Amino acid sequence: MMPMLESVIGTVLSSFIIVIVSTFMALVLDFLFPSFSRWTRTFLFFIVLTVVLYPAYEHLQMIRSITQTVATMFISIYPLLTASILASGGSFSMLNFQPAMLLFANGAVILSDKILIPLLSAAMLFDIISRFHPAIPFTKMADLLRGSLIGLVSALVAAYSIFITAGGTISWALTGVTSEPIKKLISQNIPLVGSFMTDSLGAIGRYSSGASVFIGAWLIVTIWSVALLPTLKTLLTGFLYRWTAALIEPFADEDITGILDDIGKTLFVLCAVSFLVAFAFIYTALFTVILVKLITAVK
Amino acid sequence: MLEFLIGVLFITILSLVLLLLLPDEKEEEFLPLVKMAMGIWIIHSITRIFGHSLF
Repeated sequence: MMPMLESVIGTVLSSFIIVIVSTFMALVLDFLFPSFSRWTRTFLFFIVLTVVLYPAYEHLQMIRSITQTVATMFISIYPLLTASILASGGSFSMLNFQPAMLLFANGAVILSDKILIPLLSAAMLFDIISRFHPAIPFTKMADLLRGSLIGLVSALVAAYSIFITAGGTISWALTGVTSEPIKKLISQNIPLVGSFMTDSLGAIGRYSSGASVFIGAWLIVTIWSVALLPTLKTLLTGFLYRWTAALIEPFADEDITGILDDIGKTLFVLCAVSFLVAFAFIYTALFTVILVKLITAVK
Repeated sequence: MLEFLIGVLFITILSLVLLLLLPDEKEEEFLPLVKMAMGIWIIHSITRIFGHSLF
């Protein structure tokens, strides 16, 4: 956990230090040459954009490549899985396996690759344009794009959880009474996507509790952490953007802090999208492991 | 979609550079022109989605 934290902070922190220092330099330049202030603002904007957009873009690329990998995995493994489930007959009935779930998850992956991530980058572009050129604002469009993305993703996860609970698998501890305060804490403190995150975590948890009978708890923990690592990284970077915005707010232009805040918001939505992909990954990985276990047990 | 975004980006950058180069008093006269350009571009993109062409 710690090395990952260090690597995330290490890559992002240097660019944020550049932002802080250049904002301060612009302040000094404004004081020394007041007539030059419009040019200073433009140059500062370009410096901040070039430095700050890179980590966000990198995260978009990362989630995109992960999505493509998961989609390829699905397409190659789906026929094999369904065929072997048909062949193995009754042994899978105790897991309440629904082949439609696999198709569902695959659809989500393709959706996030083809629609969600392009829309998210468009929202980011609209944000930057409306901050850059306040005379032609696109703020409503950007907010609408982000809002509808969140709506779409949470509707999908709700559909998943309905499918899973309809199967009647055993309820997991995260939905129990003991974890209720933790869920409240997360959903209130992470802006925009907090409540969605706890809900989807509950949905994934409900499912994997049913499977933990077959594969050990440690393997489930491993699959979980592999799947959720990109999500955690994105979340952490989004928070770093907002922290920087909060830090430089007293002495920086409102535009600069606004842009950092907006990119942070967009990264939170990206985090929600990556949850969807993580869910799909967990589902396939668990089923593959169960299948291999069953095959080896029969032999 | 991509073409629309690129157009929006172009208009923004071009108008920003022109606004920087123009003197302050001309800015008031120039802003409506920028808005008009953006409006024409948006209407053009919308009509093209529905299979028509503005120009």
